[in-house]
Amino acid sequence: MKKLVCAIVALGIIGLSVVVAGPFAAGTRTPRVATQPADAGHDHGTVVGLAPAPITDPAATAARLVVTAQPFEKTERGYALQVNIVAPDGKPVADAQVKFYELVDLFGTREMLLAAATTDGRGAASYGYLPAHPGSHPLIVRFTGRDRTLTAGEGRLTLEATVSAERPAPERSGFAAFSDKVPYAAGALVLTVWGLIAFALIATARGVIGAAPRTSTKGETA
Amino acid sequence: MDRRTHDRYLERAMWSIGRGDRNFWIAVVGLGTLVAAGIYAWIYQIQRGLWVTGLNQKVSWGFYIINCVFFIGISYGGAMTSAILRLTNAKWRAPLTRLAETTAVAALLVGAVYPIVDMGRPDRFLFILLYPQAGSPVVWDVVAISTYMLASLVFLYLPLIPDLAITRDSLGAGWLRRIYNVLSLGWKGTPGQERSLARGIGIMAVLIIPLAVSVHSVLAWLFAVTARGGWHSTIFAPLFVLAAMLSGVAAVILVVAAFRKVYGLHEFITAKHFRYLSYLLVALGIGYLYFMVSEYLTEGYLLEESTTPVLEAIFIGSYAPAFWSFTIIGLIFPLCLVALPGRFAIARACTASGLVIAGMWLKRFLIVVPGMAEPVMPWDWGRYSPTWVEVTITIGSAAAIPLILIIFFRFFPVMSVHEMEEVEGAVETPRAALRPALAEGGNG
Repeated sequence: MKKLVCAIVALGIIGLSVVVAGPFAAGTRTPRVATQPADAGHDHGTVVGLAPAPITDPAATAARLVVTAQPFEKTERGYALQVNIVAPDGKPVADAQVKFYELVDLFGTREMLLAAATTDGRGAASYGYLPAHPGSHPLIVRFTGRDRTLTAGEGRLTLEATVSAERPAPERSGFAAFSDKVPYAAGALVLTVWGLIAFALIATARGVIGAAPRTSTKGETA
Repeated sequence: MDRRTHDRYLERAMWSIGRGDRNFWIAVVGLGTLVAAGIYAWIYQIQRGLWVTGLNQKVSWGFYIINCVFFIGISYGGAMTSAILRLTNAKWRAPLTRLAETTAVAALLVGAVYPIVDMGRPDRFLFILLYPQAGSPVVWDVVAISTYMLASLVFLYLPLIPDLAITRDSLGAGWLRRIYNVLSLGWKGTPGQERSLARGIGIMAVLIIPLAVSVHSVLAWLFAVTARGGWHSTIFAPLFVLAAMLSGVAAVILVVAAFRKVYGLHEFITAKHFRYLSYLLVALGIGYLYFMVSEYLTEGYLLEESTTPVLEAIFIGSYAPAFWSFTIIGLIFPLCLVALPGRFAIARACTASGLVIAGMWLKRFLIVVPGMAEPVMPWDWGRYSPTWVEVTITIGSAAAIPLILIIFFRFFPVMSVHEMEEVEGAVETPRAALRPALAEGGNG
């Protein structure tokens, strides 16, 4: 009887241990890794959480992003940047968070976040973009992935912009028109003073030399 | 002035030229060592960066800016003293003007270096010249100081021309005589030369006053156009100008007293000169006191948000000992010392001048550091403790002024001979008659 009770207690302990320690057991432990891909490190808000099970073939679950840019009918509004996310099975990916970046040169090449958007039922998200200046604008759109079914992906596009925002003109007070001339007035004053100093020196030197009695080569008065 | 006195004046004025006695070399080596120590500290700072100083992110202006304002102020006082005495044709000026003008140039040369020292990277000074921003007070400073320096040098040189000729005539044939001949522009004292010289000196005497005012006003605007508590004051420019004159006149008194003693000028620089300079000191001191009260009264009455912490720190806070020391020991007491009648006019003038100079340096400290240390964001007050680098550079630069003076007066007369002749109406003194006197004077 004693042996039976001991056996039951032992089994109970073992069973309880398995239930409690199960998730942490070596064979079944789920690794804590970043849900975002390595290249998402550009995003300051890196989320760490329970990751899906290891993916054996990332290519099989990679989302495909197609980025296009179309000018608006009202050209002064700039360009409609659109991204379409397509799953490996060819279906559009709805409700996916995407972020639009522009590569800019600021103490080195950096990604400047333009906007974040969510795809619609057709897997499309768009952003109205008015560049700061005309010319080439390298753009990147990123999708950070979704649970176990889709891995992150990105699409790139170089926009050759002919339309850009107007340069912001600083608001000028009425005093500005006056103060603009102050440096010139100050400059004229400084030049006048330098002229007077030069005059005092040169005119004195000329006067002294000119009024000196003629001297021999030895410096004595002739 | 009779012929004998005139000759004695000439002899004393020229006494130091070419003279290299033991005392001279002791002074040169002593002061030169201090200057060399200052230069070493500066090189040390250039090699390692500004972190070797007590300057930091909050208090980024310290000893260097204080010294810049202080030394340029001394220069201003020297130039103004000479210019005002010339324009008012004060007859007692003759033995003083040369010392005042040379002090002005020496102090300016020292003070003008400090903004470059404060930069940390001297090579960056070039950027101010290459890419000047007309709206920057720093650029205004560079323009004003360089113009003032040019004017000070010309103002020193023009009255020196006849004395250079006297020195030339006292020398035998040789390369030194040729140099003096070139520098004196072949001066013989003809009426035409006198007219040209008088016109040139007149222009410079008139010009140097507004120039000196502009330099110190620009230095004041460097602070006043900055939105910081204790700085943003409309009265700063006249306050700085008056402070400069006050410290400058005090410095002239000390320099004159020192050279009077060492060069044996007792006969020509008398208690009367010190009394007159003391009157000037008192007038300027009272003016400064008035301006200071006016500034603190208006600021203290309104107690604006940015100004209140600075005023509290100065009047009752951590800077109060320095402020009250300056006000009582560095301003009110010295003024009383020289204003009250009595004996020992020279000793009292020198003591008062020393206290005023120390006090005015302290006042510049009280302007620069609390204004910087006060937080513009909700944060702690900044702290500033100068390191050995700043202290050594300060001592070295202070030593540079007497060093420049004694070296300068080894080549040029310490008192203006021509000016003395002018005020005595003896301009037409034949130079040939002066030679025996010079020969007796022993031009070492």
